[in-house]
Amino acid sequence: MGLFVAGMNHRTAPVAVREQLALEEDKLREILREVLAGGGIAEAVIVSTCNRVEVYGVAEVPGEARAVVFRHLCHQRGLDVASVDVFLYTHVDRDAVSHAFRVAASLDSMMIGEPQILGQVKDAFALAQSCETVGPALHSLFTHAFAVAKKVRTETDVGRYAVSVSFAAVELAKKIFDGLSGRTVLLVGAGKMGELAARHLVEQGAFPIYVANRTWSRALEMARALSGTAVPFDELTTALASADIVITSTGAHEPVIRRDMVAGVLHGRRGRPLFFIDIAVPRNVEESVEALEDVYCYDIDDLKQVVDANLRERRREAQRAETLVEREVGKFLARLADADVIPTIVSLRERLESIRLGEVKKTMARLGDAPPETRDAIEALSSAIVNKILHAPITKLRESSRAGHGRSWTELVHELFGLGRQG
Amino acid sequence: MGRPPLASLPEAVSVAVWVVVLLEMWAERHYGVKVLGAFVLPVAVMLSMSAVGRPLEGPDIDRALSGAWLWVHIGLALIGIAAFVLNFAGAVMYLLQERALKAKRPGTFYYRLPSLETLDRLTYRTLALGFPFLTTGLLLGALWARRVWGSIFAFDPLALFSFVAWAIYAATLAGRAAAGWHGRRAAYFAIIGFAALVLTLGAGFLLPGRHGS
Repeated sequence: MGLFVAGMNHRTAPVAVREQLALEEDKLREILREVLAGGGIAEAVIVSTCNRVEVYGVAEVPGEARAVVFRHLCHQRGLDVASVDVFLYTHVDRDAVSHAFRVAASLDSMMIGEPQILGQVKDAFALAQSCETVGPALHSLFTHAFAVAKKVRTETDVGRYAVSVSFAAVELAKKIFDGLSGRTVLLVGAGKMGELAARHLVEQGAFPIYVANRTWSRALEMARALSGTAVPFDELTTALASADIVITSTGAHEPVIRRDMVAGVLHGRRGRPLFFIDIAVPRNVEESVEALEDVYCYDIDDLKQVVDANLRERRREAQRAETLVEREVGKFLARLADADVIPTIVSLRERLESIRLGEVKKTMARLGDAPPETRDAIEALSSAIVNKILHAPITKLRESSRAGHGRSWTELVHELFGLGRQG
Repeated sequence: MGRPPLASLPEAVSVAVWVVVLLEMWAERHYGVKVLGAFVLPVAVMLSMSAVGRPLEGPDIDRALSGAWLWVHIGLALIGIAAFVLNFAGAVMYLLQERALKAKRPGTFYYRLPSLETLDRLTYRTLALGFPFLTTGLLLGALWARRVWGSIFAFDPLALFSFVAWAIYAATLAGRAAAGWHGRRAAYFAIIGFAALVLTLGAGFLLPGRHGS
């Protein structure tokens, strides 16, 4: 019986194929039960998201198991198995473990470090558990994978930096201000993007929110949506004086925020920084504004540049995460290997111990009324001999199992010591 | 030794390094600036290197120098210097982060350093902390010098340089408190002030004077 994973992901299969195989829970339950009922597969978990369709399982022949599972999946959608087969990959043993860990840790995701995948894998695992298709092997594989995912998230920054323009703007604000709670936001224009950025800021505690728009009714509407206050468009300069973060997204063709307006309010601010997030095209903030001291001005291209840098940073962190995952794979396999030989070690111990006890009993009977010191000495001597004899075979069993050929050694030990057949 | 390890400049510097590191650990926690050590420790290492290889046992402290006042003078000045090491580190970090934000090219510093406001506050606080210690320390030294040698500066380069450093810090503090100095300007002054402090120590090591070498 071997561990395997077979399936397709965003790299190996086009979305047109993936979307056809993405199945709802009821169907997945059905397939899980059918697949196990058919024999040849001992355990199975199916992960089905928009970016991957994978089966994790334990089977005698992984290739056959894969064929069985995907025959069922395709059958549900009336697809030809042959048309899907070219997109499939199969990993076994070590590679399967490594793959499971990488998927759960979001290193195999289209957007590296995205947080949803872990939840999706957990759901898939829970679904399989409810169908009773999870055995000891997949149970330990998945619980370990979840632990690894958590470790990657806390020990690396792989999921940390924003990959969307609006979140990148929030992060920038946090690099300027010491926390966003109580920061005044001024939203100029009532575009969707501007609203989204303002919402992110509000979620981080920014307050109060002012909204300025050329159309007064639109300003009122947006202010209501954001629990803010509408300000008349021609009082922009006044609003600027109290604002910390200004988001501009009007459709104006001339700059709405001019250098003289900003320079005029700077003195009264006593050095409080002023952050412009200009997501309008053409730009709403005059270019020369950013030369002013304590003023930081990011237009849409600047924000995209920050997002690109964030992505590079994520990929760099992903390298660190890969190393971490590989180390965990090694640990997991070592533990698995130990689990393989432990029953043999236990029965070997029991066998020798029962021989020892039998012989000690006989000897004690012959000795009659020997003093307790003698009896203790006999106990100690026999135990010591048994332990000395056991030491070498146990060490050898562990070593060979970690090296991947534990099976032949356990069989040999069973033969040599007459331990009875393996279960 | 039977006396505080502060009699010679190398000894005093070694003690200062300890104070710097302790202060750094506190600030790191208090401000959540995980990378602070990366900026402070090089300075601490430079300081301790400057003390290495110099005779640990200072010149016999002549009778004029004995007394509790001396230790208070040195101790206070050292705490002040330690605070200014942090002040310097905060200023350098501020300038790096400010540059990264203005240049709009996020790099190592952008990701690792805290916000501008945090760094500016760190620089201000350390200045406000270090200044009274430095002032009192210098004042005691000056009073002592006048009583013993009859003149405040008494041919001592260290005393002269330390007064220059003090004046720079005094100006920065006044600027911050009264004129609303902050950010870049305050950071530049912190760096200039620290340069003067380094010169002060250098003068103590290299030039003959009352602080010995």
